[in-house]
Amino acid sequence: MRFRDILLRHEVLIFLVLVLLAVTVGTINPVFFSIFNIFSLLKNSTVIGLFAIGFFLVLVTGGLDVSFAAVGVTAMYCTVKLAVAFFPGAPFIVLCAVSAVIGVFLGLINGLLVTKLRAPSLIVTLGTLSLFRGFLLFFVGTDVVRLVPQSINDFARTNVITATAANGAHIGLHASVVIFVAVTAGVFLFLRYTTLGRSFYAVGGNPIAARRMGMNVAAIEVFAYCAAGALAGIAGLLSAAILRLANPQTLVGSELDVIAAVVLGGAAITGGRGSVIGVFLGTLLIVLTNNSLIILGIPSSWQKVAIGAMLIAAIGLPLLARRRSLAGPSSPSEDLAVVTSS
Amino acid sequence: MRILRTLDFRLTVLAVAAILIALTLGAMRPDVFLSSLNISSMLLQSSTIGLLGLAVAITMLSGGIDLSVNATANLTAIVVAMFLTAVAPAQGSETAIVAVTALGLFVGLLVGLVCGLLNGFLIAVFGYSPILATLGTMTFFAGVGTVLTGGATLFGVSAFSALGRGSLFGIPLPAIVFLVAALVLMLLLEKRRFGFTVYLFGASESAARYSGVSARRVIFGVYAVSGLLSATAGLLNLGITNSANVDFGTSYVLLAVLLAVLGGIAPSGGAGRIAGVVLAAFILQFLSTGLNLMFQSSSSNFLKDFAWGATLLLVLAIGRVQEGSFARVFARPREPSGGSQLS
Repeated sequence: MRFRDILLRHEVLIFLVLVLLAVTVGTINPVFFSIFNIFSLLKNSTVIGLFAIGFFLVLVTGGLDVSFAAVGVTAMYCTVKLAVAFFPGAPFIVLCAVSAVIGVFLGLINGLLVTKLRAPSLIVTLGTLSLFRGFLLFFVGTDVVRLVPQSINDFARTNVITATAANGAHIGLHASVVIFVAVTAGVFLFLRYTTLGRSFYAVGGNPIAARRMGMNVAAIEVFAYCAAGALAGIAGLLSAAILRLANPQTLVGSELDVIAAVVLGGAAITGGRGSVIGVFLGTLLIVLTNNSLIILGIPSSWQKVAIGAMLIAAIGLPLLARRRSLAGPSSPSEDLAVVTSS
Repeated sequence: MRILRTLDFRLTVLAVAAILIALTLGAMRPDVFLSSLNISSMLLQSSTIGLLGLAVAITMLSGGIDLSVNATANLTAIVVAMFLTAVAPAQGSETAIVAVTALGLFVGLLVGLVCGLLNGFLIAVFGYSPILATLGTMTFFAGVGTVLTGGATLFGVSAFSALGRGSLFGIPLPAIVFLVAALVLMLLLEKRRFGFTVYLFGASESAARYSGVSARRVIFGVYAVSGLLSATAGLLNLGITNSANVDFGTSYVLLAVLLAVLGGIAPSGGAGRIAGVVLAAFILQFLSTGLNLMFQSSSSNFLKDFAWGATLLLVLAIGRVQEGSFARVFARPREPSGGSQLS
């Protein structure tokens, strides 16, 4: 019984799927297991992964923030524009901080609107998505900045581990992976061991109960949106740093990979459930799927079908598992789900 | 008193707003705005997006949401375009062309129905949350469309585009389709038993369940209607533009949600009128044309993004301020301590 419980944990299930997929792809095409491919997989995960953790933080409190890509691209582009104009010599860490601060500001707008308007967060953040992106492209600019500050160019070339491939080429693990792993670890510890982190789950699980326990539900929600904004800002800047150019028309439109990663990782869309490890594994699974379609020679037009089908399947898994463990349709948690779903 | 009671506050405000905006723009640029060409082009443009707005509105009334409306519309257009190119006779008789066109319409509606029923199935039978289910199917439908077309743009058949560009008494045919669809939907929601159960289900799912409303029937019905409306929008698009591709109108999902909310559909379900959504579609079209007249640069589309986002938030804010006054009749029962913050 105990073994079965561990096996049925979502993180374990998704890890097994991940391993299965990797072994299958690796058997068909051995290129998959090359260090080069694994390093590039990790590098490709960083931007999606950081967005996913931000999305997850809001999701845990019971909100849905679909504006993260717009926040990320706005923070990134404004930071690069500011840096080029005023402080071209600033180190990369300062640029990251500026982008994160802009992200926090936009997240604050999201958080205040969601808590004050009392409308479903999906609809509010759909509005701010359009608002931020329209603001960026109409008022700030539409041209691609190619002459980025020197520190971004330096960062783009920074590797933390270098390996030599069989053919003698040098392959490095990109520094952005370190940032991604550090943020993942930080959020993991925050959600698990701090009072504020635990209250995220409480608010998402049952806001009325959380309020009666004396928690400031609105403040906790606003904090979650701000944190998500900060992570989106960093993710946006990293996406520019990896490509060494700032394009204001990227990121928006590719939100679904991020949402799919979080949902695949087992987070409940109604809030209160999920883990950072699950999000991390979900991100790897999404990136791995996109990557393996290419390696297996499947036309990229199938990518959306694959992600969509996987998303639909992944939502079903926990629902089926829960149905077995819960009683009838009128159990309290079902009724709560009715209230929280919108 | 009777008249006062039937006059919906929200509908009155929307109608007055629509008339005021039209008058202002008409006074500013009478030569352009009031030309018959502009009026018929505005009617044409508002019809497809209006249908998508109706599709979102009915799902929102039931307490859910359908994010796959635009993907359904595009998939419909793609399938019908492929179907017509495959079977259309190059040089057929009049009756053959009519028959093939009618068959094309039928195939299109069938695609929409299947898409809608898939959504309904995931939500009603598997218990998926509407957001996630339709987010998943949105990608899935777009993916199927990409696989079918290989990402290319398909072109329709002349017999079909005649429908899209045709007009009756000077009114473009698509606009007539939109208004008839809205009328049918209004009757369905406000005069039929099914409509009553949709409102009840949206206001309180538990109350609906305990009063013997079949949740499955409501959900299947709502998403099937939503699929049919989306498919109609796709068919009109195919007729108007004579082309179909996967990427058409990616921002339409936001616009459709905006139309529903602007039209007075409560975002959490259970309240709102279809007539409001129709008025909202016209208001948005007037504003869009107005912005185009004022900013004739290529970036005016981005200004529109900004304006639509701001409008949506403003409407939500106004709705919040007036919550106590006009929405009380239909408003969903409030949780003891502001439960609507939950979502």
